[in-house]
Amino acid sequence: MNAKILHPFYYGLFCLCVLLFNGCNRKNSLKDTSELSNKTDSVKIILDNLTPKSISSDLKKAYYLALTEKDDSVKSNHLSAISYELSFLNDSLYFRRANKLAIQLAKKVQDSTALANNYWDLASFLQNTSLVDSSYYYYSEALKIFDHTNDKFSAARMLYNMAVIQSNAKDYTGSEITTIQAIELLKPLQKNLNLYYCYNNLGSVANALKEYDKALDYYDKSLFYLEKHQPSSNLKYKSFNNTAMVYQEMGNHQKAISLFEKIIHQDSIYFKDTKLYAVALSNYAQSKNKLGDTTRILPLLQKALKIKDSIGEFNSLALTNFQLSEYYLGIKDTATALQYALQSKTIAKQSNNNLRLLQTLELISKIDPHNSLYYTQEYINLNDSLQLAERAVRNKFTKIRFETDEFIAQNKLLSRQRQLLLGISVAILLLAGATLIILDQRRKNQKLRFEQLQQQKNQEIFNLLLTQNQKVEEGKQLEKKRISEELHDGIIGKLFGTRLILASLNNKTDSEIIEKRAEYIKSLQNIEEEIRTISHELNKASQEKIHNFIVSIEELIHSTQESSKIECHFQYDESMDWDQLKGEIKINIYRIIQESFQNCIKHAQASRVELSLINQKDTLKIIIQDNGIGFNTKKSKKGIGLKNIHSRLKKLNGHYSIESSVNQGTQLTATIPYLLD
Amino acid sequence: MKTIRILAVDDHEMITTGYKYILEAAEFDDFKVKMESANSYELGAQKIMDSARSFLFDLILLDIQLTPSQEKEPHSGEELGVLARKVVPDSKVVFMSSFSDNYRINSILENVNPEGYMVKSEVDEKSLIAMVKTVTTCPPYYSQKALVAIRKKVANDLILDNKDKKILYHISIGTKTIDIVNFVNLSLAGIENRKRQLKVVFGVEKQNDMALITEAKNRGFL
Repeated sequence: MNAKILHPFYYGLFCLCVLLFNGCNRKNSLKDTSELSNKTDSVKIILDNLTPKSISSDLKKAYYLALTEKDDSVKSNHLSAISYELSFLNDSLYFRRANKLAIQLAKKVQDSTALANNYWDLASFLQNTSLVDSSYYYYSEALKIFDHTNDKFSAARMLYNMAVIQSNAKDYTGSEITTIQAIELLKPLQKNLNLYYCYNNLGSVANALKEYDKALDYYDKSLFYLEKHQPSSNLKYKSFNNTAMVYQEMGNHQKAISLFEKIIHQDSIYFKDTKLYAVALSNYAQSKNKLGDTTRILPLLQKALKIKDSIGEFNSLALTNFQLSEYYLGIKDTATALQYALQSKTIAKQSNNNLRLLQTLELISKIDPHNSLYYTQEYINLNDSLQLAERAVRNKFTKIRFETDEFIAQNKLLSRQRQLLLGISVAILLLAGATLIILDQRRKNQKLRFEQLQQQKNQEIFNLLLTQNQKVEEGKQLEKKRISEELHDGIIGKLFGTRLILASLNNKTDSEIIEKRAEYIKSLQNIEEEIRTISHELNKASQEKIHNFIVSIEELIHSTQESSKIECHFQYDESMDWDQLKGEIKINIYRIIQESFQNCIKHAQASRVELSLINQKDTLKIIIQDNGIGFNTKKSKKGIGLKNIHSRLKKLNGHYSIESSVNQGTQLTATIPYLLD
Repeated sequence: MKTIRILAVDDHEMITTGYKYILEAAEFDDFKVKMESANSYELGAQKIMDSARSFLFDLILLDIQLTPSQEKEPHSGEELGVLARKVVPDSKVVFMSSFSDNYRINSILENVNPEGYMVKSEVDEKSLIAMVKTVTTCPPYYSQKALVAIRKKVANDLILDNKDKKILYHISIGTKTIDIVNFVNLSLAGIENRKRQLKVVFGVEKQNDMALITEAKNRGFL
């Protein structure tokens, strides 16, 4: 069955495939790495000034220079660049050395991009030296890294290269899958040229699977992308050749010929692309031959043969020889046919072209029936060994692909897990932050409310003191009015009367009158006395100190006594001017006393409370002692009342102490430093 | 020779005695003076009422302040004046007061329209005799300070009603607005309203009560 697959036109295709992927090497990515080192060292200078003539020796020089570099990352970059350049020279020894070192260094400095690029170079190099399974392996390694670093374009190019290798190894289905993966990556990036290559590969794969319609469709698509990329590209004609080959295979030789003619008659195609010209020429002749038009085939084939020979195209040289052999067999010239067939066999063997060899063996067995058995035997042996090798390679590919896919899937899983973890931690952080803010806010609110309450109470007391003050002021006013009226009503009237009487008595001098006068002069003395009294009263009123603050406290005590039936005793330092205290201190003392009284009534169940206000140098002492049930100061928690007292004293820089034990009553002593108003 | 009967009402006995000594000793052209006195509102009122049924007083001298102001129902000479005008319209009335403020004088002029007004600080032997002479022949008689008050009032074209005047007066003696309610038959809001109006009238809008009082005094309302 294998004999059926091995048709001559493949050789034309394979030539193209090799052509295509060569144009697909890493170029742009390398520039970046070489520019990384700002140091204008000699290695960089050499690499920057490469000339085709001395490239080999220059690169060797650069290689040895790079080896002396001490900085690993710089060295890695240099070697990477050198190995890249070397990969084009087919200098396997130096390339292998440089590449190996570059890979080691890239691993060491953990430069994954450089490592991937080095793998790429190695894979490309191995592909050229026909070590396809190793090449495939390194492409897949590079793919893993690119996939990990999310470099989609490079990953797609790795996939494409792998697809080409698979296609060459006849793993057509695998190649198709890989190519489609590459296309999926490339489409969003709009890399039209790479898409062109991919569809081209799909076309050749479909062709190989004998799905001709599909193949034509793929080639069409590849041309569409090529149009998008660069309408005037010469690649178009290569596509024409491929399409024509499909038609040839379908037996539609008319169409094939018209396409081949387009290529051959293309202006100056011979100079632009000699190889393509030769290939198209021999394929054209082949199609004509198949149509039975044998007239001008021979010169065409011979021309193709000559060209291919001159440019050393051994792969297709064998093909043309094969075609010539078929031609001579067609015109029954068995001797010449055998001659070309043998030639084809030799070239195929030399160029290691097993497919051609198989086809040629098949042909020879037809031409030379006498030795047919021998050639058939050789054919079967070769075919079997090839099949075995191909199967082995395909198995390897599958394994490598599987591992790569697994790796990528694992990567995706890991990244998803990482995302999930990140999401959860962010959510937890946000939640914690929100909780903290809410708690803080609530605490602040509580504090504010407490302060507001205190403020309000302070205001009440302030008003109380103010009212007290007003009452005193009113009393004073009343007293003044009384004195004024006393002066007006009493004294003035008496003085006026006395004046009138004395005036009327002035003119007379009898003894009775003199007596009367003396009487009224005496009454002037009484008026004097009266004025003195009023004056004393005035003086007393002004000197009298009314202890406003003390009055307030007394009223508090009074109302406490009224409401709770507690016996209260109050004593205070009379030498101290309590009203001269700062308003803040007065208010807070009032509150503290009020708060303490509440405690005595509510908690202590006291029947007697003693309050003392003592002035000691610059501090005031408030002592509140009750005869209540008391409590254990160590065990009990502070109630809201004590907390209030504490916060008030803190504001005044004061402090307090409590002495109490069960059934022994309680004594609270608050000490406040003060300044007079 | 004709005798003129004079009633002096004053809560200070010494003052009525002073009047008596001076006027009874004075030598008038065609009459002699006979003094009677009352030292309280009640006694004064009684004597005025009695005189209506017997001998009329030719002249009634009234003090304004007759009782200590602390008493619950203070009665004033002004009321006696009103009473005298009612029951003995033929008796002449002269106020002898230590009040020299415009408000009091004008209030009395309005309510009683007496034949004379003397501020006590201006009273002496001469002026007292001159007053009796003038009032009995061709009233009225005003002492110097009373004249000033009357003149100020006349010079003013502002018309304030009784309530306004009372409010002004109470403000001037330092009564609180809230307490003025007790003296003037108005609500607190009404008083506030009038106060505002008064300030507008006196051109002291948006200023304090002190400015209002000063201006009212200048214009003769106090």
